[in-house]
Amino acid sequence: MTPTVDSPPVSVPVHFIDRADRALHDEQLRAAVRHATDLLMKGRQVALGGLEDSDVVRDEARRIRSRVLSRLPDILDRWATNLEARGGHVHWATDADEAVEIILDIARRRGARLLVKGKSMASEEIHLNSALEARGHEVVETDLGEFIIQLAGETPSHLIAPAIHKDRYDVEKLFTADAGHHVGPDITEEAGYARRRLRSSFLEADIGISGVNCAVAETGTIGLVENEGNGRLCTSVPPVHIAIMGMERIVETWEDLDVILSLLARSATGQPLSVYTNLITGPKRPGELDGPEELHVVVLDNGRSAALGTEYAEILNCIRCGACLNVCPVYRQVGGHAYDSVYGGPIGAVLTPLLNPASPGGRELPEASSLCGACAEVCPVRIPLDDMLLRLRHRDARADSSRMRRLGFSAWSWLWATRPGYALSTAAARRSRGLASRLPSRGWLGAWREFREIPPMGRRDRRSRP
Amino acid sequence: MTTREQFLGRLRSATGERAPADTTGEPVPPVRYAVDRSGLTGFTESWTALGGTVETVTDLEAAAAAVEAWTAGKGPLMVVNHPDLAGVPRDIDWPDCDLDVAPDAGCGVVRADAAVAQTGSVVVSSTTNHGRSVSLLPLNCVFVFRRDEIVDDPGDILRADFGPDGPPSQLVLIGGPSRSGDIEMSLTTGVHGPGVVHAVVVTG
Repeated sequence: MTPTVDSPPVSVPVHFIDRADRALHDEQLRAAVRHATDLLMKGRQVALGGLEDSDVVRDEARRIRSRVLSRLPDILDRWATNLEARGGHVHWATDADEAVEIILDIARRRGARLLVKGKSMASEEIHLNSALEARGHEVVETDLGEFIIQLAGETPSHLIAPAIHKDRYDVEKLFTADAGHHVGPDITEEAGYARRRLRSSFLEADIGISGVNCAVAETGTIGLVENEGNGRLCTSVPPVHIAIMGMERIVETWEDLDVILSLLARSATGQPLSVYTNLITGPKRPGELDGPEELHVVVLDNGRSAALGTEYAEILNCIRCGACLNVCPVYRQVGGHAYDSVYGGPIGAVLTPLLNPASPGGRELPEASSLCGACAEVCPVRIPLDDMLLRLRHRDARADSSRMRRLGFSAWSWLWATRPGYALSTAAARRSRGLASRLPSRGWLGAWREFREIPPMGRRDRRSRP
Repeated sequence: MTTREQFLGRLRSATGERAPADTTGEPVPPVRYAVDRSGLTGFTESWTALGGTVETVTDLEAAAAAVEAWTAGKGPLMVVNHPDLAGVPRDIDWPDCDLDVAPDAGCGVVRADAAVAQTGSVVVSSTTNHGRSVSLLPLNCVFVFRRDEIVDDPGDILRADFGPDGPPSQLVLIGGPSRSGDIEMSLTTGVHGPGVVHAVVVTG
């Protein structure tokens, strides 16, 4: 499907600071993001109150996820063996190109014309839609939010609320253009249009595509949670179901799954469980009337293994709830598109440099944080996101600081490490009062100064008082 | 194309350790909830909070009558061929029907396997006389189950022993009507799955 609204192509600025600046001047976007993230944060807080002690459950979830990471190859191996024993096909994709090639192959073999898709960040990661469309396949996003942004020709701006930046009037324009008659701006009418419009796609589709929230090794199961039922439709109605799974989205046992599910929807949307918790173990079995004849799962590495065994490995514990986005003071101001990456917010600021180190965001996004730690505070599996952001900054600073800057910081460090050196520098600062206001207003020093007040120095050195 | 051995081999060299494939870790304690919810009262509280409705009947005969009354005027009725629902009149008999007629149903009637009090979920599996489309395609759906099939917590379903055949091809926990908040975070129901859901609990 191609975007139905003709709008002039909007160029995306190369640098985060410019994209953020653009977002900061978009009042509608900021109000929408604020409204949505406020609601999601409040919902999370109330929902976690439904657990006797959410901290205990979060500790358990962290243990479960870390145990998985430490033995990931064996757990994946066991899961694949079990799924294959139940008739599923498992494919292994080292990178995005290979994942796309596997899916194109299946589509070609099945002679697929139409593919319906449930929400899947992994599919965004491999740019699946454009690859399928380039080969003449039609792809329809079926999650309401994803359908809206597909019509707009955009990308998701939040992990769980992809069209967070659109209001009912935006949707009215998009749906009216798609329908050829007026639809909206009443939200119920708009949702009703989506149901009717997408229903025929589900029934005609040759292949359904989904993501995977959490697989279970002991039975070869894949779990998919969602609220609309489009995920269940994608995985039940078309004759072929292809699931794309980040290689780390797995636990060992159903007991582990119980713990993860008790946190996932609570942290994401403030629900005790999503409306549909779909647990799929193979294609339909003999005697079953409906369900897919073929189930394929594409296990995706795409840079993840580079983080394994490093100080950033714990980032792979992420269960993609999006809670860190909702509390992040940067995300809350600029929204997801400013990150210009599949993953925005704090999780994106850590994942992007690891999965896609060569991208501009790989260098810039760790800087897009106040290091306040709110993200780590709410993470259901307690990933130390702020520590990781700081480490990434250290890594980058070590890698490519200019010689002058390194020399400057070394000198500062040397000077303040000694008492006379410190006294000398404060004396110098007192003598040059007023100099601060004359610091250059351009360049990196100017950017640093723009939003900072330099406090006035006292006339006397407190340390020299009797 | 990358093989399983190649893919996992690369991960093994990255994690730098090998562990036996069949060991699991420490036992995982059950998830504890702030409020104990159990039985019909607990389920009713949770399910209605999610937007579903509940009705209790004393026996299967009364259940059939309750289903008939609730579904009146809601379009063609698609009913799973389960002995407990034998008394429910139907337009489409699942699975003894042509799959193509499933989308025409206005109301699905399902014999749920179980229900969960804590989360207000009904549990439906894809075994031969349950199917998937019945609880998925129609705009309205009725779930029939017995009071003693209501378990306390999701863990009672998820941690159950599935036996030698393992879990069914699809096991789904359904918590109320299909919903979306994708436009302005405003709640809309029935976006894709059933927008109106009713539980008929047999107490006898």
